[in-house]
Amino acid sequence: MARNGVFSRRWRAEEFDKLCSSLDSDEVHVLAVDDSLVDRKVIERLLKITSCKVTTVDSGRRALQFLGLDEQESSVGFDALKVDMIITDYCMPGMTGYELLKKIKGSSFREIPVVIMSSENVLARIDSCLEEGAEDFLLKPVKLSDVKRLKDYMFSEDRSRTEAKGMNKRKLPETSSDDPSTPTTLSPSPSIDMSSTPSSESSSSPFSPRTFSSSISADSSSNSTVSSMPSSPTSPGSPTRRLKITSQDL
Amino acid sequence: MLGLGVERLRADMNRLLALLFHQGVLDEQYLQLQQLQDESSPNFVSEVVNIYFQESEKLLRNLRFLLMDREFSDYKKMGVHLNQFIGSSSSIGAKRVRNVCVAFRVASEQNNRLGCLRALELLEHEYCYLKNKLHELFQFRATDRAAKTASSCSQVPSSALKQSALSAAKQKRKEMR
Repeated sequence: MARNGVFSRRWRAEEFDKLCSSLDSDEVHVLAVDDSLVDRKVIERLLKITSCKVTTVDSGRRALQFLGLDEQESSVGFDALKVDMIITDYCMPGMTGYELLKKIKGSSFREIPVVIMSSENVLARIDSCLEEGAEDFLLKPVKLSDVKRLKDYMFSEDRSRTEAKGMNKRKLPETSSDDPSTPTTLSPSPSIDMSSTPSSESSSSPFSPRTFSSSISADSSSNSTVSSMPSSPTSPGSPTRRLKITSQDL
Repeated sequence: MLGLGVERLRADMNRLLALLFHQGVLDEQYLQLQQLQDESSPNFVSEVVNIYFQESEKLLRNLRFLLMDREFSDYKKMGVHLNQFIGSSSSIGAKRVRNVCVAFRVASEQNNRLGCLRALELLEHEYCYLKNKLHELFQFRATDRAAKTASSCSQVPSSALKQSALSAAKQKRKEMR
């Protein structure tokens, strides 16, 4: 694939023909965006193992081209390549995941749920992504449990339910529990496991309440569903923290 | 049915894995990668790790190149490389390498060239150690698989199977050196 961003039309037609014929209308098709090849391999595998069809691209611009939103290329009929979810890294050269999110939410594809992944757990960043309409925010390294959870609550029964479930604004758990069949992960950010030990959930946070309030209350209710990996053979004292918050991040 | 040969190999492999966890060289994310490996993607871990090696070595070269320049001042560029290194290391569970990168990044943010040089040396050392150990792990797996393939020939008497597994293991170890 050309690395300078030029998207050959011939490549697209052939690739998309292949993709069209292989896409089952029942299968969830995810567009994964990440500039790191290692991360693309991992997220692709995570999604495939959860029975999703995956297309990976290495930049926000390629993602927009794939969707047909890039002004420079006239779109080839994209209806057959229905994208059901977009999962994107936050930190990317050129267009960040946040900028990509904004572009998508401001386009005819705004209904497609967008999930942001980031290795940096900056609350302000999480906040702004959720405010901009991100469906969820995953902390890297992404785990199988994260992807399974995502797929379950977004695509568990009917595809059409994704619109009902879509949460553009972060809600407190009490208000989003209208669907009795969803699992207890109610907040948009249940993957953020703030407790390093089972006992220290909502009460012992040393951080300012204004930034953490909804995350804390969301998390305490969703904590039971955050599945944990089998612990390492040694598990010395502290379980691996998925979220390391320092006061500098605030 | 193969007797001690294969079991011994597996025990050695598990011991190495446990050691790497104990040393903090690997963390649970590596186990996560193993979970993603199955019959449909039997070489997933080594594939991802090999990509990681290629990318890391490029990054290390870039970092060294930047720092070797006497007039070096592009800490921002160094930060970009380090962010990539941190990200990919964390994705494969390379905990110690990742931690050294984080410390390296701190030195870089402080425009501390000497600190960066020290961090780079440490990083190169940690990376080498990780690479060697992961290669050992993959060796175990390859030998284990060879033994499995050998054992699927039911006509061969078990003593011969054991012999072929052991000699395959010895051969592999020879090749490593």
